[in-house]
Amino acid sequence: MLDGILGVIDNLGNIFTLYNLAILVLGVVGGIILGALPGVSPTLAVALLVPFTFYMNPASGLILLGAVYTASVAGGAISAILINVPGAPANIATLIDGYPMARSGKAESALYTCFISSFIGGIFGMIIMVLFTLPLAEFALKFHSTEIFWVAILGLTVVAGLGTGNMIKALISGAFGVWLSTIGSNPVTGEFRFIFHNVLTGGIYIIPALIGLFAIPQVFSLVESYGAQRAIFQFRREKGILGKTFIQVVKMFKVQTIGSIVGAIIGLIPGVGGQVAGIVSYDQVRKFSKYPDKFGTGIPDGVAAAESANNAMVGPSLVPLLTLSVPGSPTAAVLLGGLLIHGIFPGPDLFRLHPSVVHTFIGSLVLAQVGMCVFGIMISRYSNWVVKVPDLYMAASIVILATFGTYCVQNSFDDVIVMFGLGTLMYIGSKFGFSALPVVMGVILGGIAENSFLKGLLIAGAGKGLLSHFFTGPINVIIVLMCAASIGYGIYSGRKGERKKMQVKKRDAVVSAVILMSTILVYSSMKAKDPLTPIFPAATLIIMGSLSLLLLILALASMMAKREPTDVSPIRFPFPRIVVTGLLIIGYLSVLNILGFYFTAFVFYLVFTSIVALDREVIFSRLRNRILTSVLFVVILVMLFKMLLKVQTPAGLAF
Amino acid sequence: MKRNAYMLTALSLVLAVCVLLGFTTVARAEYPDKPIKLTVSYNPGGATDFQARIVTMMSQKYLGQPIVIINKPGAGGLVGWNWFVTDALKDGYDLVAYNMPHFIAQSIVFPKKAKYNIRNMEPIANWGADPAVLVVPKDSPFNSVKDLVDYAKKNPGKVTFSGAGKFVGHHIALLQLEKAAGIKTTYVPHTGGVPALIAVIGGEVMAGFNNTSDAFRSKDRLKILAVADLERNSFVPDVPTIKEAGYDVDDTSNNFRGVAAPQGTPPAVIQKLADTFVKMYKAKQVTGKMEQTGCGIKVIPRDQLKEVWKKREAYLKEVLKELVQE
Repeated sequence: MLDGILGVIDNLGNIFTLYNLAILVLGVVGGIILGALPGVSPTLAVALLVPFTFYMNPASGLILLGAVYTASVAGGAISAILINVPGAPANIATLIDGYPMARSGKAESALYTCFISSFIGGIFGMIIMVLFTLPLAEFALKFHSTEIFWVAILGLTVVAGLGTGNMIKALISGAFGVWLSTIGSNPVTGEFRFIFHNVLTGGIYIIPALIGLFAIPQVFSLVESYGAQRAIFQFRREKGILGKTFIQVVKMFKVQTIGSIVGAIIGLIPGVGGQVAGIVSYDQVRKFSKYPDKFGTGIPDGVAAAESANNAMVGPSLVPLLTLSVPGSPTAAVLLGGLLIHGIFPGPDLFRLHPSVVHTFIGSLVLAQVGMCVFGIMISRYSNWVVKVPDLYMAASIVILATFGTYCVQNSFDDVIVMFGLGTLMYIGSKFGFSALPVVMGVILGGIAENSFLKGLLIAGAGKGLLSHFFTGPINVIIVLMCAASIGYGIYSGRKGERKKMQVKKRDAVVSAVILMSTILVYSSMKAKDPLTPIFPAATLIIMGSLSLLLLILALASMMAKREPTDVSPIRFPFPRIVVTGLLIIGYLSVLNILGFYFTAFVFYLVFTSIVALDREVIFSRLRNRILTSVLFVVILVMLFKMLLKVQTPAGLAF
Repeated sequence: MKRNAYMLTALSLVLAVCVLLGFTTVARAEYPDKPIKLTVSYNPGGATDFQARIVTMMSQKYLGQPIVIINKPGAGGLVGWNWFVTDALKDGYDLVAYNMPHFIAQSIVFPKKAKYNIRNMEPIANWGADPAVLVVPKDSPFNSVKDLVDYAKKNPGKVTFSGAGKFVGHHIALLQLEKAAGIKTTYVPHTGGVPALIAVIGGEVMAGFNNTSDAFRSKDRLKILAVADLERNSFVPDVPTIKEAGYDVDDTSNNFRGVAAPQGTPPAVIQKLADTFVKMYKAKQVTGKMEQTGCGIKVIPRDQLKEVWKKREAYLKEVLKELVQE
């Protein structure tokens, strides 16, 4: 065990050459920036850099990949905190408290919390990885389909407590997300489902869904709040925030411990890993907290819980790759390519035959954690630049970044359409008390749950039968009990102090009726040849339908009781501005392919920032500044997406 | 404020000039005079993507232009190939990486959903082959294909097999074995070769068909019983072919990878690409990297490749006859 650590220390010499250190710094800074772009997940960032390592020596190549992996995981938190759009699925939990902090002028402190917690979690994960490599590998292999199915279900039970409002609505949103994940081809039976339009053939991918569900409602809400006074403009940068935040973070001993342990354990589970580590840890920290009600209002504990977990996941997630040669996560699969290209075959022999390579790699990951923390803090100092961007400029930037971020994931314009469609639906839903987080959790976990359920079903059918296959084995039993505990806690806290959360409003009657009707319509449209294909979507739709029926009954009952409605305030809605925003986005999408992505972005940016205010004075005043800002924005876009990421956008008439 | 505006102006102008310079390319007469795009229908980092990047790394030298990899994954390759035959440019600047038997199998099983087939794609050249191997866990009681077949005969449907997905090489290898040995098993499709391999190593399934390269790397935790190919594989020379083991299974399931162009690309361009790609695949740097990473090289030039495609399609139509979907 200890020789692992000694080995790493011995090989630090390999890293401390000028060239390698330069690569490490470049990888860390680049990784943070790439990670912060919505859509550029750690997997994509690493995949894009693997070809560069073709021409490097093994040590430098590994340092680059390790640095980019580590840094991009933490970088995703920047956009979550500053613009309420997570850079990657791993960062969804970060925005729950991170964005409220930024909105109230504490962006810098939130980012410092994020990077310091990432560092603590990351180092913890590395230590666990080095000390317990082989037992961890054996443990990871014990997760079969049934165990993974239960882990996904456990993740879904967290959904009930997410979001800001009615628990039934959170569950409906979660079920909707799970249903979204079943669109497209079923990987087990090969059959296609719910292809209402050709753009859906490839199914709904996590990242376009993630961007749409968070970014588009954010665009509309920025347009809504345009003109309102914001705290940030009165805000002056305090001296010594870093020191204060540092002391605050170090004092959160319990939060960091829970976050790191949860992250390290979940990181090991093949296929589930990083995407849910943050949210599960957030949920646990909240449940064990003395002030669970404050979570979601902008407290640093929430940011720390999410970020310590998603970096603690990095080390353990590499264990199956390094010891068994089987990557446990998409990012690890990409790293495998990076190792193979240098003739390094991971597996049991790796530690024996190439100990210095492994130790250099691990050493570079550890140093990358340090670099990530240092450079992350340096970058955070400029966060106020982003926070101070006026609302309309920010809204226009988000529309364009969301488009590019979605497109670059799989070079698909269909995904861009799906992203905007889902986002618009989410915005409407948010007006009726539905929130994006449960939907995203459903999309992420639904696919994992269905897949592992069907595989388990096939194996059970050939073996010992369904019940005994899914409910025996120590890990299954433990996770099932945890699911039960999680549901029990939800019901308990629902009864205890969160009565308010169950409150039903009159307009819910209409919403729930609409949802119920659509659910029935979709259900009746299902047809399949293989009996396995409809099981999961049917169950999901039945749950969704029952929940909306329950909501309908509650809403009707409260109308019957003629209770005074507590929400006398009508929905705040600057109708003309929202309509103009919607029309501009539709216009933008329809000329995107014809004129070329970058030119359209320029026109959209200029037009959007000029006319959405619907104020004649705004249109003509400082026009030159707006043109320049638009040019500058597009130039940055070109540099990032065309030159750095080499995204090939369709050639239009312009560029 | 004023000074800021000037600074902004200057900065924007300088950057704009840089960007415009980046966009303008000097036109040249001969093909290719700009980078060529190669669409890969799988995720970045996957075996196909990874190998495509290796075999095209010398294109600057051989074609005079770089080849850029574009990933369009989805529905087991269907999304990317559909896009390719409907939207790709037919001027030689859009190429695609194909996986056989996947794309042919899909064109047979999904006659409506899959818009591609061997007639609307032009083969350029094949670069690699990754035969399927039959693997069982290290502690499995099966020590040969015969052990496994005998058990499956006594226990129909009880032997569980993992593979990389529905209608891919691994699935086809199993269908062939079932037919040749007269057995019935349970196929458990996974999302990719690696999860399928984990299922065998972890003992979740009793056996599996998987990629030779991946199984080879995990050979300490597996028993490799046979290879579904016409001859033995150089990575695992001691392992017999399924045919040697006594069951009539050929190399139909062997995962061939190569490059194709859309139908309608000018013949002269196709010919130039077909000639250059064969030379490029054989470049020392390319074969070196391929061998280092454990990928099997199999260069098949265009004219022979056409025949291989046709033969595969005819055979697969037979094997997949009962699985055709609307």
